[in-house]
Amino acid sequence: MLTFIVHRTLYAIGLLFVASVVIFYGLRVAPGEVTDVLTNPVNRIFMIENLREKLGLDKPLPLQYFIFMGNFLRGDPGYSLVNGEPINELLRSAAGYTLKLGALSALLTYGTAIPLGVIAAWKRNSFFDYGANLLAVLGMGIPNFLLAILLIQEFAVKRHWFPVAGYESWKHILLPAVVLSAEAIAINLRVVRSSVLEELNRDYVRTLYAKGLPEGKIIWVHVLRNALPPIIALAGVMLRTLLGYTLIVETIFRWPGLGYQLVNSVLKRDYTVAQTLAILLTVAVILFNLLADIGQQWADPRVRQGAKTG
Amino acid sequence: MSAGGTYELTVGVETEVVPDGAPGRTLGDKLAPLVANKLALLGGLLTIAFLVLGLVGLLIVSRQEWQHLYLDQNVRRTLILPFEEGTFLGTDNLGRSMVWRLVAGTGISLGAGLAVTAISMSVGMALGSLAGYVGGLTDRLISALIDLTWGFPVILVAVIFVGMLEPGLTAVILAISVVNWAGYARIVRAQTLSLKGRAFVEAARALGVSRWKIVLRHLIPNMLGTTLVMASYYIAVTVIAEAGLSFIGLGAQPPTPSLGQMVSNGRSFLSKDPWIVILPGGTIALLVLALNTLGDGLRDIFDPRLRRW
Amino acid sequence: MPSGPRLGVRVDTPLLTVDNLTTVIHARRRTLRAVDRVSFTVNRGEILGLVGESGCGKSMTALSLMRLLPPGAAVAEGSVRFDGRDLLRLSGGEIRKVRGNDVSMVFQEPMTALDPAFTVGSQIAEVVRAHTKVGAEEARTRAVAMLDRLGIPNAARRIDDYPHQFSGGMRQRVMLALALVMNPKLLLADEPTTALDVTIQAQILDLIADLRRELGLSVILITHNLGVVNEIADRVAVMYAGEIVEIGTTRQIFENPQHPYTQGLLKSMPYLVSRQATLHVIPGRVPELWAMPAACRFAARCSNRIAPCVETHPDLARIETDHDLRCYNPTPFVR
Repeated sequence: MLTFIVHRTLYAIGLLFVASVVIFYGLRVAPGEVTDVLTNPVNRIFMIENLREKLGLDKPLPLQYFIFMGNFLRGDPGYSLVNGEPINELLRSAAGYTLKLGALSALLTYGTAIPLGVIAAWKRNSFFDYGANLLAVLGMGIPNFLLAILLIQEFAVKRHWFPVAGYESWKHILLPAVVLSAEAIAINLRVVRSSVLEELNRDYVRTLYAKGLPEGKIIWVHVLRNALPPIIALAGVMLRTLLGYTLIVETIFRWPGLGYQLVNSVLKRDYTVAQTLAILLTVAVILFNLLADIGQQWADPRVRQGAKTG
Repeated sequence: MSAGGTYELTVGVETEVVPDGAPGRTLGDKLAPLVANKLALLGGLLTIAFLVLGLVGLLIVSRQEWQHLYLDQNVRRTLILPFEEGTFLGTDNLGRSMVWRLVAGTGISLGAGLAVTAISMSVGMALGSLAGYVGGLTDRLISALIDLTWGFPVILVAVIFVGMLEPGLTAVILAISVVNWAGYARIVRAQTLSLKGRAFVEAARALGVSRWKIVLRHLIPNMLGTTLVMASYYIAVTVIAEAGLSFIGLGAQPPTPSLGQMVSNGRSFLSKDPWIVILPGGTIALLVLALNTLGDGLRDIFDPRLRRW
Repeated sequence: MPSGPRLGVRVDTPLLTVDNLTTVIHARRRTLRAVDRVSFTVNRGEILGLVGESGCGKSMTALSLMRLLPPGAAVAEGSVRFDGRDLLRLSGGEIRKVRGNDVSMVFQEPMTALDPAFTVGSQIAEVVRAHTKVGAEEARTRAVAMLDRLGIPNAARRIDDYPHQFSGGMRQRVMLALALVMNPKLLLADEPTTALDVTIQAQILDLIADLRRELGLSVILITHNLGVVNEIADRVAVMYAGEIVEIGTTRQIFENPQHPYTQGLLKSMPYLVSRQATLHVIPGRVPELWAMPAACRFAARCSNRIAPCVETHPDLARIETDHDLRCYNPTPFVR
């Protein structure tokens, strides 16, 4: 287990190096200068000279990469080319917003998908099961941006229950969180259902009934526990997908998280901000993969204890 | 469907309780394959209809003399309801013909999907078979490359590509291809490996036929089913990702019409004139549904191990 | 040989009386009778062997008693009187209190019958906690004691191991511990030794025999292996195509079998009875559930067949004390 973790971690670091080089060069050689978007000419000359020096933009690119990565790893990625503000501050607040949104979405996803999926499998071919299946089909069938505007229209514009966009209160987070988790709920619901269904057919379940355990304990403790590995395996995929969706959902709801800031900086050609955010999100993706790999191994006691499967 | 565009290979298949020789399956379970195939058939027919529409759309987008069909504005004839005042599907807020814009948008979406499929599959086929056939260091390098790109969030990669190039279809197509070639390459690699070890390959080699030729000759027909399945998923993923990116302004740029753009454009009119959102939104949903149903049906027929979740 | 246990446990009313038990499987259009009007009794402290080929309905019989039938199968009629109550008429909550507490079951597959994700200790302690109000500590102590009793070395330490860390024989001991920790009155053992090595088989059988002696346990031992039955059973019921065709004491069945099917089973056993060089094989196949003859179900394979055998269905009839037979034309057994 330990060698597995070490091996995967080294591999992740390698991936990260390659990805950061690609992102850095790619964004730097992009057409269009950042200067295009600077509006105040006086400000502009002062800032560009200042920044060029600060960021070492006059040095050759490979050197710039190492300067940038050095600063990045030290936790000081520099300044925005558009408004000269330190990226750190932007990161701190954006990461907070994204974490909040992500945590609520994850909670919503698993808090809905696991109970619904388990009950759908337990009471298979019942009306509950069909209803859950319908929900899954809808969740997977409606693109998230479409769901977003439908929800905004219904609950913000028409009924005024929630604000259309923004970030000032708890009410602002609910609609984006629902939109973000809709597809994840649908997919997880299916996986939970089929995994639980598969477990319900195993011999040990009959033993559990023969022991006289209450059915609730059999389902929610034993069967669910054994049904977890595929759900955990999917969690990695799910987190990555959600992370991609935050770019769209945050932009739609103008939720000032990492995704919104990345889209914004890309559109403004603010490449110091863009490369920092892009690399940061890539780190997150690679980290999710790593955690999912490890989590999946850990979920199986046979693997965890390094024993041969019996 | 997922813009994550990842594919999992699992062996697990839903099973029902079947006690010793007792048929415990209910009627619904028995009918499942039949129903699935009927659905797949429906999905296939719908997909073909969309492809025909898309072809027309691509044609009018590519020929300057036909672009007026979806570009001509008319301030006196804005926001006409479908089937009114001599129109088929009405007009948008600038008085442009909705039906032509939908046809053109479908063309753009499907064109992008086909481009992604073509790029992903040719790269995947080349690198996957190379890795499987040559093995050794080449295999390890290509496998690392597969791991690097496989399962990256499509939207994130697309936004980074937009940063590297500029907002538009090219960046979107490249980004989705960069993520999706790896899924195909994995399967090609595994197929090549298994073919290489088979007896008939050895036998052919003994007869003096090049082993590479034999492997290729068997690889391509073996991959046919998988290719069809994955193509329908690739196109679905592209359609949905392109629409999402267009919606936030990073996809196809005006005047090139795109379904996502139409939804975005109609947003401000949603409360009074909802159909200008419902039409493109519904087209996207139906198109993706058709592709996924077709894909699932083909998967059940060709390769049940190939599951997306 | 007197009826009842060999070991002098007091015999009074039967612990379990199965009467006319019929279990059906609902298939597409038809209703198939997997267990057909089966009746037998089990006395206190007695081991009853339930013997037959796979698919004859013996496992379904046991699952019917426990009300653990898979979806699609259901008891259609009959009664199962256990300790004064009809198990088939109990509510869901009441039958749950019986399972694992008064009546326990062990299964054939020790590899897959335990939950792979929990330690064996927690799986045993869980039974105690499901049926009593004792705390976690006490339940654990009982689990250790039970594992120890069942001959698992280092029980106190091994209790925190997972099922995959045990060998097949040890796992079957864990299964027994789990079944016996509440000191039940009746144990249903469904092919408990089939998946094990021959030497381990003998150990497990000895263990069951010991437990019966010490705990006054009644056992229904389900097996296709007559050798197993001969070793420890007091009485034997032979099932064929969903019905009991012959039932009697172990000595009656082994020394004076009357049904041609029982005789065939005995002849097909190596070592036990015959000294022939070639192994006897019963010709033909068991009729399928959906093509069950209305007359004697064994007739098509029977060498003693006479006219009535293919016309009417024979009833189970008493031929001597404790010995019932379902046959129109029994013949003495020739080795």
